[in-house]
Amino acid sequence: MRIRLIPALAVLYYAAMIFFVTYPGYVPFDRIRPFVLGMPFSMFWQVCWIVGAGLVLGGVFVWEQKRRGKADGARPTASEGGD
Amino acid sequence: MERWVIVTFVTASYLLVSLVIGWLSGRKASNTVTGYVAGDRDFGLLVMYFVMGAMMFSAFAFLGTPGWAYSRGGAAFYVFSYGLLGFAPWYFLGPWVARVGRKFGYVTQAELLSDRFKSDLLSWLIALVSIVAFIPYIALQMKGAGIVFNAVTDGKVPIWIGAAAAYAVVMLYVLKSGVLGVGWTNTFQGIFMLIIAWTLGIWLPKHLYGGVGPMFERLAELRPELLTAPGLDASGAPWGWGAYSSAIIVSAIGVTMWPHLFMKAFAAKNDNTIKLTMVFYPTFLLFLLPLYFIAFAGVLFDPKPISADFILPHMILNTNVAPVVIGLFCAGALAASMSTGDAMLHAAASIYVQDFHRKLFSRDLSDHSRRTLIRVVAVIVGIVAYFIAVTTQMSLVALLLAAYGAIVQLAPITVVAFFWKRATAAGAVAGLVLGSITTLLLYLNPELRPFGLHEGIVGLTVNCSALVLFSLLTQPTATEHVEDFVRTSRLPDA
Repeated sequence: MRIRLIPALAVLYYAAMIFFVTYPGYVPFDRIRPFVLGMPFSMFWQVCWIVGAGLVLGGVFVWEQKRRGKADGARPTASEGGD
Repeated sequence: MERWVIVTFVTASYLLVSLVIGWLSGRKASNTVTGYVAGDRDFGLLVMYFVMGAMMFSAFAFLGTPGWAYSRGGAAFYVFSYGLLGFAPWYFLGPWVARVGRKFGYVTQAELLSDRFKSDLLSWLIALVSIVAFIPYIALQMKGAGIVFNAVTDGKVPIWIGAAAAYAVVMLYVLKSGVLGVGWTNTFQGIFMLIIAWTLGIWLPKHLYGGVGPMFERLAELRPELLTAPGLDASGAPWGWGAYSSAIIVSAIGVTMWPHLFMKAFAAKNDNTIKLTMVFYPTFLLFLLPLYFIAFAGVLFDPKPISADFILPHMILNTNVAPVVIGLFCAGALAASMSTGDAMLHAAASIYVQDFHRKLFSRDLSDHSRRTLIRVVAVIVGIVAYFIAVTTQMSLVALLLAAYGAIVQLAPITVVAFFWKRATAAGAVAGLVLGSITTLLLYLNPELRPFGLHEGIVGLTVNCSALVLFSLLTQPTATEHVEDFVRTSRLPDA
């Protein structure tokens, strides 16, 4: 099984997110100040992870499209995860 | 003109537009079960985005979540996290589900799982769990619609009429157009909800405090305990990190496993539709922000609402908003309720026929009879849910949580279906049953929970152990079929 870097990074992003929005990863960032965009930092932190998720998945999507463009017809069984 | 008349008029106009869109959208669908349940597998990106988003944001998002932010502060932030984590796996899972669906003809989650494990028993179990979870959920959506309508018309429109009006519209377009009616009305309802929420969410804090920043400055001075996680519990005491964190994990797994999410994956045109929906989905989640702003604006506001769940309508009604805007708000709340309720009504009826009735009573039902039967069941489910919504005061939420606990238990089976070829029907059934029973027992007897862990997490542990144990003790499922299933899930579409 070959692990591809880009999807692995996306999975890593979500693993990091689980750590940083629950105990104990959230604790250092779970604070009122500084205010960002008018919001307490604790709330802004949540927004960051949401926006980040969109960017990461968008990156994976673009990467997949490019890769498929290159490998078109060559190896139709290419897939994510798997055996 | 009196305020409630204008409000009712605006809301009725919204209902009419929903009905027209829903009614007309079914014209192109083929006259088959796949057409009615999975939209001929032809949903594009726009519809898919709003179906997923609007389905997720129910009446609970418009009433319950702001109620949490208002009364429990940072505790409400957990919705951001589980909403995101619950959808994330669908970027990968969605295309796999859609591929095996296209090849083997599945239109529901139970069809997929019971065919992978070659077990009718599994099909009945999943169908039962899904329907038991859906009915109280639909009832809650109906009740939510009725309550909002009642509140914004100063009590002139009784709850039972408001709920009936909104859901008569839903029933008509679900019967006429199936999933296409759900898809296109959700698109309209979704856009509507987003515009209303953002407009009011920015305007209200500005009107009351001079902006979002100044509002939070005031709160930081007067009620700082509300601005950080894990916030407060229902009684107003500080909430624990353990409960906050495990609530995120269990809710995220539950969201991923909702049967109607699977059904929408079967409706997608191709892999890219699902993937792009997941790329853009976080933008929909940010829609919670304006709702939280309104809720936080209510904390330092007098008079207080009669219950925390009323904070949104309460703020709109007490801040000199024009009646037309109140009407639009009411329509937005109905949109949130209806766009979730319609998908569930449609899903409950489809699941009953495809996974229960057909497997148990008559295997050779024609496509035409199945479609008719789905419509009949949709009406019955709607009536039962409506009856529950307007008559019972009993703990719907308890019933819902119990069934939701069982939905969470579908996660291990779904994962092994795609990853572990050795998993067998006996393992799947044992895992589901034992996991659900454990969850229910611990839910009813909280003192038995080890380390105060969420009952769902303990259930999942039992579930996984039973799944592995019983699979290894039984003969493998037809190897060729399983190989084919797993291989198909990994093939990118042409």
